Amino acid sequence: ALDTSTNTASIALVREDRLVAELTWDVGQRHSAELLQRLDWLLETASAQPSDLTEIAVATGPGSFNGVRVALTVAKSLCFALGARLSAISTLDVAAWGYASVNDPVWALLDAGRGEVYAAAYPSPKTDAATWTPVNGYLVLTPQELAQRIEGQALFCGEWRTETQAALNEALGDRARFAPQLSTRRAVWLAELAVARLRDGRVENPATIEPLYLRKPAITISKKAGIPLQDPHQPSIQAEATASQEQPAGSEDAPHALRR
Amino acid sequence: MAKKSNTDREQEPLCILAIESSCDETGVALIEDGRAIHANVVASQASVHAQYGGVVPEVASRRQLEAIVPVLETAFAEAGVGWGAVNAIAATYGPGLAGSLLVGLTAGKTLALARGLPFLGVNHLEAHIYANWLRTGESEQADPEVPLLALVVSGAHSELVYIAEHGHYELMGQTRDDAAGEAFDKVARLLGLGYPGGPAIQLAAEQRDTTRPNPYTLPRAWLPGTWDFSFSGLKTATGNLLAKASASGEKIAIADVADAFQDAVVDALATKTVRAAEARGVREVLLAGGVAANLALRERLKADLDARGITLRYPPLAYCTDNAAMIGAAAYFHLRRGERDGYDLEVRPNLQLPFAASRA
Ligand SMILES: [Zn+2]
Repeated sequence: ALDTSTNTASIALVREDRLVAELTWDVGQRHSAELLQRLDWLLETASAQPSDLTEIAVATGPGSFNGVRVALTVAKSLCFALGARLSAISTLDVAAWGYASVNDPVWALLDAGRGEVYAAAYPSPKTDAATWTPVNGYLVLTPQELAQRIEGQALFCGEWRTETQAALNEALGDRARFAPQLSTRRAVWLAELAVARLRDGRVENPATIEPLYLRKPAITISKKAGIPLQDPHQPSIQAEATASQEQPAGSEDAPHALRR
Repeated sequence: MAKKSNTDREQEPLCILAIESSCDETGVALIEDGRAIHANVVASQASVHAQYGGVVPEVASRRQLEAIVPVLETAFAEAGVGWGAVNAIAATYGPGLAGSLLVGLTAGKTLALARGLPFLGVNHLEAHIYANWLRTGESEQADPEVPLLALVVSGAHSELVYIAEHGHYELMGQTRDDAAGEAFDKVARLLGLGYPGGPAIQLAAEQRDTTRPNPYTLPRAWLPGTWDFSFSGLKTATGNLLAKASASGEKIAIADVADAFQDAVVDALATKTVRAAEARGVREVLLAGGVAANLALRERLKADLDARGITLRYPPLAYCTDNAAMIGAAAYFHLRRGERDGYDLEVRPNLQLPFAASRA
């Protein structure tokens, strides 16, 4: 089970419903360098071969675009190289599953930058792992907009900025409770959800599985590979250094051209 | 199977699965002994980025992730082999767009881990040079022989590199402002010819009415005493020419301007390259990078170098633009020397050739 959706990464090795090993760490932006190194270490620690991996679970976001892409690339490549079966689960589903036994409605949050959060609400009473999905889909919105959607109590879990917690506290008062930030997400939770789904025969295609971005790409032209334009119709064009500031964009649905 | 040089005689063949994802093309190739191409597949996003007039980094990395497994599948199908035929994995780790590089490099490292194969990260610029080692023709072709001079010209680079031996690079000269390919893109935009600019300007220039002389000449920046290039003045001069014409109501043939611009770029690149080749006494010159696809540049350099008894080599068109075959060619020489990279290798968006100090 692989999750590098945010600065907190987690990987776990599970054999027949039993945890073999798990590692959760602060990965920063070094997703690609550290994920493979630690996956290698995890396999070695468990005296396992890569070919022992018959099922791969991956967290699909939302989160850091590059972070999510690293876990998905590793998952796709492992499935391609080993013929393993793939399960792909939203990072918000994973964050909330750790609090499935709580009686209040659970909201999973992840920081989305630009003063917004990724959010999803999970049902109460709880469903089981195979059917664990948010009640109203996956959202990207400000803490104030989020507060307006909440009637009654809410338990927030996941990762957020102090400003987010302050804004939710201000709007909801006693109705808001916050899970400890030290237990944000664990890859075993991802593994539990994946095992249940795979048992139900829900297998994803590694060739076509995509991240849950929830945002359109920023329209910035690369200095390395193109021209910064002075086009009056595209006022949002910026230098590449600002590419992490996501901006809404027009459609980009042209198909790939495969050629030799 | 490729004809072998002395260095790899008596060794087992080395078949490399190579991945290229530095910008907006996703490439996978299977290359034997750095020369024989068993498969070379490229998925291009050019049509996606054309609407923006340049490559949009976040769009490019999303497309890389979508394309990587289908391109891997197609490459194995094209070669008609399975994993048993692969001895090593190589992937570009720079220079390029961080988000795009991340996909190919991560895929390469993962495949190596999964299959227990050696892994090597490849410098994209070095790979453009090594595209000249690929056996792309029907007939047997000899390897380039060091010492060599290489002109690396692309959307991001315009560099004159002296190669004393494999892996030893000396930067003789480079652009002080725009890369040659960047100048093509910018001027194509001025002329309303679209993106990418290189092929668009070449096509426009070819349509010029050659029964009369070109009424325009655009300036060259010679930067005497150096092997450097400069193209930003040329871009400005082209803009001024168009502005003046539109102010005076003069009707301008775009094909004439495209031809005058291309001629100025080619003249600057070719003149310095030929002089540098003579100064270093090399017998062969390698042309590399996306702009090596420009026919005017190829023809001019070939004629000038032929006249001096120097051989010009350049890869076929499909191997000038970004592709994974060239990654496999460059990786071969490193892997044969026993070089390997770990799973902790990171992308290097601003990677350069490993230059030794220049003799100037
Ligand atoms: Zn290139």
